[in-house]
Amino acid sequence: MEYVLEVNDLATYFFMHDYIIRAVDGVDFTLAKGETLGIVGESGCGKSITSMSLMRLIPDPPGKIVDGEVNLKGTDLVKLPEEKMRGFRGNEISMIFQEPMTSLNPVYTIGFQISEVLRLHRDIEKREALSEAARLLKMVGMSDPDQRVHEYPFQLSGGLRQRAMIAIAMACEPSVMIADEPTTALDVTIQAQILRLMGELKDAKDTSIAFITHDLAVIAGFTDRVMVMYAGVAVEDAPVKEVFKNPLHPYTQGLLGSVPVLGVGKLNEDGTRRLLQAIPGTLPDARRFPRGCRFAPRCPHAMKRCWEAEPNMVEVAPGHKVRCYLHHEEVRERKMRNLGAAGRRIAKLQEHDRKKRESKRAREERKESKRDGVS
Amino acid sequence: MTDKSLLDIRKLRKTFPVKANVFSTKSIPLKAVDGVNLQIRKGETLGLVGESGCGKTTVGRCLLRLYQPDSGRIWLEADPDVVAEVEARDAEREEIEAELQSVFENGSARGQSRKIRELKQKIRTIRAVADRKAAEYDLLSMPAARMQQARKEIQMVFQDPWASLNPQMVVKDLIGEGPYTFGTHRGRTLDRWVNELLDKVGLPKNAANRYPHEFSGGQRQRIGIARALALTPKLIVCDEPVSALDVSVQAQVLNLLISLQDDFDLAYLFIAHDLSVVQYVSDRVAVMYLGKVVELADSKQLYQSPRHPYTISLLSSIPVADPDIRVEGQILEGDVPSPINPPSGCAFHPRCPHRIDPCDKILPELGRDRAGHRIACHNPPND
Amino acid sequence: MNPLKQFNWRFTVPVDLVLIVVLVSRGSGVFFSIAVVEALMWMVRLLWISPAMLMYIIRRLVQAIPVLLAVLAIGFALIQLAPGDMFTQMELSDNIRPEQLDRFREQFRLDQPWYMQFYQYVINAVQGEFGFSRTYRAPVFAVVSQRAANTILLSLTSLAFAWVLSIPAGVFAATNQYNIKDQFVSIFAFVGLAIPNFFLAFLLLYLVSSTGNWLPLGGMTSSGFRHMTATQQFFDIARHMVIPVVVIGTSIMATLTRVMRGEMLKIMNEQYVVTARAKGQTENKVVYMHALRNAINPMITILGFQLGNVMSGAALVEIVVAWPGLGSVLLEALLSQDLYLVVGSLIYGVGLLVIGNLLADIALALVDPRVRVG
Ligand SMILES: Nc1ncnc2c1ncn2[C@@H]1O[C@H](COP(=O)(O)OP(=O)(O)OP(=O)(O)O)[C@@H](O)[C@H]1O
Ligand SMILES: Nc1ncnc2c1ncn2[C@@H]1O[C@H](COP(=O)(O)OP(=O)(O)O)[C@@H](O)[C@H]1O
Ligand code: SF4
Ligand code: SF4
Ligand SMILES: [Mg+2]
Ligand SMILES: [Mg+2]
Repeated sequence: MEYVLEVNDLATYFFMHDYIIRAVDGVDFTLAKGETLGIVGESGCGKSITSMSLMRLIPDPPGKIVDGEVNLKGTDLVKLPEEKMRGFRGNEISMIFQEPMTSLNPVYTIGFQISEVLRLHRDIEKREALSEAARLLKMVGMSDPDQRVHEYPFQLSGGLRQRAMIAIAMACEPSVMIADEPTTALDVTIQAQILRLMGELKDAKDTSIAFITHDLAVIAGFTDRVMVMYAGVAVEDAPVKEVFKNPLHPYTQGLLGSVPVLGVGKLNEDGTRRLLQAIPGTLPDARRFPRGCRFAPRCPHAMKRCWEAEPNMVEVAPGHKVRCYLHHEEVRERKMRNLGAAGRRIAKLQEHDRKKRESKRAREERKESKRDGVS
Repeated sequence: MTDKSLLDIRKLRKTFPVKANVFSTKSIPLKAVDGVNLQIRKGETLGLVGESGCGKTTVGRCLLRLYQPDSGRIWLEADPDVVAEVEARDAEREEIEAELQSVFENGSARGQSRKIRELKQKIRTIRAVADRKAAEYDLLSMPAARMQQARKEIQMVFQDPWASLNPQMVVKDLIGEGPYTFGTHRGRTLDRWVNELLDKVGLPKNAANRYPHEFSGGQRQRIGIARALALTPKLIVCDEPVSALDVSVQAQVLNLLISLQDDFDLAYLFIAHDLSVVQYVSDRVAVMYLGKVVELADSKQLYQSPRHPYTISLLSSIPVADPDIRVEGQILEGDVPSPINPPSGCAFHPRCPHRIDPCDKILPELGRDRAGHRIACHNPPND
Repeated sequence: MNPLKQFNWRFTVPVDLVLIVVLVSRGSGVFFSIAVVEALMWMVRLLWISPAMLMYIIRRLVQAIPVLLAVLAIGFALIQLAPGDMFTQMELSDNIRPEQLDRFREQFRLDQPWYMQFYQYVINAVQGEFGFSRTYRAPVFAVVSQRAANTILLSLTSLAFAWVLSIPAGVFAATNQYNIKDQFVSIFAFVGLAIPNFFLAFLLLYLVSSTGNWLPLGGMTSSGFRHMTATQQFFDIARHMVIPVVVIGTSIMATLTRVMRGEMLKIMNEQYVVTARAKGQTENKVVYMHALRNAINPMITILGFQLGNVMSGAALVEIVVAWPGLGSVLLEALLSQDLYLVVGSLIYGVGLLVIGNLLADIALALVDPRVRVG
């Protein structure tokens, strides 16, 4: 399959005064054309930082993409100079944010803010851009688009603002759209409207979407594949049906068990009180992750080796990957794995250093042998 | 059933004055809660759901008198005879008020100032008599001393675990403040009581001497719950107690709330916008729209066979955690109208797919009772 | 929708020009004509831009009346408490005839009880009559008006100076947060705030005089001012203004820079700034178009508060550098016990403040769409 976006081993750290936050610590995923990927996880697990890294919008300092590549149709965005990157943002890869109330500039009209992105990436006149903006507003289902382009964000409700944000994100028909919790701040009725709109637009334009949320139910009917994140890493990556019908990682299972599902009442069939299967404890501090599996402190199946080294992501069925020892077959490449993700990176650096040292020594030896030859 | 009634909310109204725009001096009333009748029974959980801004929080805060309601009565374990008598007086008063209103509306107010004065006088006396009668049981007309007692019976857990705890106080004082001021526990017994509460809500004993900022959101919410429990109230108003929490922690807190209910024989008014959560904890559910209750039923009935068009579409817009179900139900179009200027008649009519002729003129009353399942609608689709 | 709203108010500017020209050609003063025409035209424009705002302005003006009345009352009380009346001293001089004095007294009803006098005083004040200045031997209003124009010139220039410097300084400090450049600006701003105005004025005067008097040290014009061409006159005044403008400007600049820096830091963290970057906007445009535009509103808000500072600061500095403004005339009047002049210039100053604050409010409404459209 041809991928529009390939993310390999992406790592973004925040270098604070006296500690390092490993916000994203080695994430891989792919996005095929027209595919929708759900990224799920609790707050603070690194979903937003992943998406901001894709856009290269990490505040630097203190943040920095320390490793990995983001391949968008053959271009590695991580290595791109800032100037070139600007040509991609909003054009080839765009983004919608969680807070519709604050993500539009309060002092400019909706029309201006949509035409801004059009004029940045297209050779288009001001007037023309404005009528294009009205067309986009119509596309996202706003009534009176010609009137709306002259309105300011504070005149619109949350749902309408989110529609305007979608219009901005879709204006240049990007190949990838990242939606970071686009419906979390909205009421269920408005959420349903926005989800339907995004689905329609995706089908019409064949856009690939990365849909970030903490609510599993939202993505059930909306995505093709789901990546579950925990403490800066992906722990499970599978087709959406697999995730709901056959979740393999204990964290995914816990997540599914801890949300009340519609249709489940207060009492069990036998009249006893029903309790949710809560996951005990809380997310580990991003400054100090456990040495082994990051989920071990909360995991009901934790074994001895879970505390010792971080498991790798393994593919247990076609397209279904999981990071858990319960699903590791034989321990291959034991040494590499024992180091864990961060260790692997350090090892890579050491390897790099070693090669550098070796080539230096080789150079010097060659020089010496030359000298020897001359004398 | 009335004998088991704990709290009976009648015709509760609360308006907020808002400015029409930045420059105006006149303010217009925003009807946040507009004539709500609800009953909370002993030991039950009443869920309160609705879209943002429909007045859920305002109802909850009125119960604790954090907001001063404009009118209505909130009966706390009232004697039914007193209630009946006061209601009769109130009905009488309302009749006169309607008469007064019609005098004003006819535009003939000019020459009738004497009549108006008389009517107003009558209203005042009837109200005074009714209030005096109600003073023993009605939270809104109680004298201060009785109110102080009644306050013990109703406590609240707030939405934001970060903002609702005073950062300068250690947990022990936060939890012990209520029992101390009410004098229910003192000294050694107070410490023991606080420790017991910490244990009940699943916090370690050493939490007692720490400050709230040392705890995570879920733990803070536990502290908030312990604080609410400290006076052994009969009712706890939970205003979105889990919506600021992570999903995994949310389950822990919900489980805690449920197990405490049996231990302490508590009733909850459980306010939330997440319908699945409400279904999971509630015995009965009330659905609000623009300051009014539009449907009230047993949790099971409401979720299995909703009758009000708003509830039907609300339920069908909840995403289902099952990838095989891609069919979308009926999606509501448009936004919630502003409570400053609510639509006439049935406030839902601009968005309602079952609207009929009188909907935009006549306000439907909460009725059409079917074994306690009541709705406010002229043309319910499934009836 | 109101069709008038579609109409751009900028098209009405030529009408202003025509009206001003008409007024000037009929013999009114230039400043006076501009003030009257602009006040009138803005009322008309507001009527359709935002009637609510027009009402607000009218209400504010009405609310200012008690303030002004109170000031008038205090002034009147001062005059009443002093021995004699304003013409007493003139009796001593021989070039004024007693009949003339009697006529003056009648005009000000000095022969009647105090409340009638106060009533007359207020009536006169409304017509711009604040009595007669003993030292200048001219109506107070005429003296003060001329001086007030100088004060306004000085204050506005200082404000403009402070704004032009503090906005870039604030933005610069905010975009270079955490590093040495930011700290440099902050320290500079702090020093500007800490040095008292009059001290800085003396310091500058000393520096200039000890390095060869390359700037005039006081006054507003040089001796040969009358014989200069218009351009020369302009530069002459400009040279005289340098020291006072720097002194007043730096004191308000300190506050402005800090506010600007704080606002920019806050706004650079707003979601819509991220949105702008996510569109592919250049960092310069993100800062200047998206962030700065939002940081201006609070700056205008504090402009309203600062007007008082500027005018009182100007008053002190005027005295030091002998700028013929309201401040120096007030001092002169106090020293020579010219009560009517004291009261007149106080009232004038308060009036200017009230109008200035109102203008700042209107400016805020014009730049903030939430206020303008809502
Ligand atoms: N202190 C206040 N001043 C003015 N208006 C208020 C105030 N508190 C609430 N309101 C208004 O009253 C209405 C009901 O508010 P309320 O907070 O009860 O809603 P809610 O149903 O709890 O909503 P949410 O789901 O957002 O919490 C809203 O329109 C709100 O804007
Ligand atoms: N600007 C920042 N400076 C320091 N740490 C940050 C910053 N932004 C995010 N983090 C940290 O990175 C981690 C991941 O955050 P984020 O991606 O926002 O989580 P979420 O999954 O809720 O979107 C968290 O531990 C958070 O505290
Ligand atoms: S690796 Fe071990 S601790 Fe981690 S999820 Fe699997 S079983 Fe649990
Ligand atoms: S009363 Fe009419 S408009 Fe209101 S919900 Fe019922 S059918 Fe719809
Ligand atoms: Mg996030
Ligand atoms: Mg609320």
